[in-house]
Amino acid sequence: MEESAKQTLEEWVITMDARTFNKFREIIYEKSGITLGPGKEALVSARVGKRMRALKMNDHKEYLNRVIQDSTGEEIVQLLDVISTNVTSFFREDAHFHFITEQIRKWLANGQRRFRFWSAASSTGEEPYSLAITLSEAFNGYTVDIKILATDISTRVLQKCREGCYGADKVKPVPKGLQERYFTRAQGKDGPLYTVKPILREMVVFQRLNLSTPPFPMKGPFDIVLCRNVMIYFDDTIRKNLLAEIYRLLKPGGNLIVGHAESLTGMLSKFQSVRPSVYVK
Amino acid sequence: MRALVVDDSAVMRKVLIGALARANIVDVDQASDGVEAVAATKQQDYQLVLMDWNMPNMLGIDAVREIRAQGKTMPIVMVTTEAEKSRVIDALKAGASNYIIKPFEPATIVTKIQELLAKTGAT
Repeated sequence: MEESAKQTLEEWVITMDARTFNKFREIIYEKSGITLGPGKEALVSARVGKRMRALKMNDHKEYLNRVIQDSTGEEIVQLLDVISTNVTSFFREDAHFHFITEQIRKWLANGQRRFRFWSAASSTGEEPYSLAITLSEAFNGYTVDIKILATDISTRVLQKCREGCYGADKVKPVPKGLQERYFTRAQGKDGPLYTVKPILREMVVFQRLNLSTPPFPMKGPFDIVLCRNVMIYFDDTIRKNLLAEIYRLLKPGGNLIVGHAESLTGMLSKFQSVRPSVYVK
Repeated sequence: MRALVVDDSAVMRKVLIGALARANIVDVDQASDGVEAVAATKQQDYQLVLMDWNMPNMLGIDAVREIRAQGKTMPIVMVTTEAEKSRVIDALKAGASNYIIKPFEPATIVTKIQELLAKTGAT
């Protein structure tokens, strides 16, 4: 079964025609702002194929029609789920978390006790929970009001976030002491499973959000916004609008953190650079 | 059918007014804090109120209490980032009819408003 599915998948990869691909590309751009350049036929075919298998469909055009005709919009959500990539890990780019700790200490020293954070493309939860661990450590001994908003366009990954359950390989980047403090270890059928403790889980609110369609229904102000490795999928117009919206939602002196390979240079935003990939309002 | 949108953020009010329009509610007044909201409900009968929680001058939850104390029974929906269960219960105890967590999806808020109005027969 597995073998035949694989074979069919390879056939799909070859057979998606340019017209169908362009139609998918248009819909994906319109609904999510994600730009798929030419030459991404194979990638789109493979990812769409995954969803088609789940629906037991084997024709791309048939699936395309289903997406177009679904007036509830649910199939578009499913399509965006399989298209949007989810490369993430705990404490990815750990310099960012050191920076956050420094900022918290500074703000605590100034008497601030209410803190709001936003993980804009939270994926499967590694980023918001890394943030939650960092904050719990930094706030140790203080009585504070903290909330982390975690958003993503994919309902599937948000479900993973809510579950907060990870395999041993996933939690590897989390230092041992912190693993014990913030995760409950249990034996799963494929090895140990680490589930975030309620103390972390309760800090985070998960909501679906499409970053390409500001203004967002919230008012902030946030202290720090993490928007890492997501703007690369957007074109300049969407990027510019997203940056302006993040700017609106940050407090003066609040920080925007982007992926290390991303730069706002030439983006005509109001942000000032603090250090590579870290900006201030 | 007249609605009141209460939020200190002009952008939020705009977004909420847009969502109401999608539910065919176009007669909408605005208030930017709890004090203004209470004053507005004294002057005008509303069939629906969308209420933010954290606002200057008077919190949304206190405004809900005051509006209920006037004997007003229209549906009041809290629209807020205060997502903890205890907060939701506090709001419902204060007299809120329903609860929407920010950031919401446009379709979600439209459905919720329609359901609520169908239930109260205020369409």
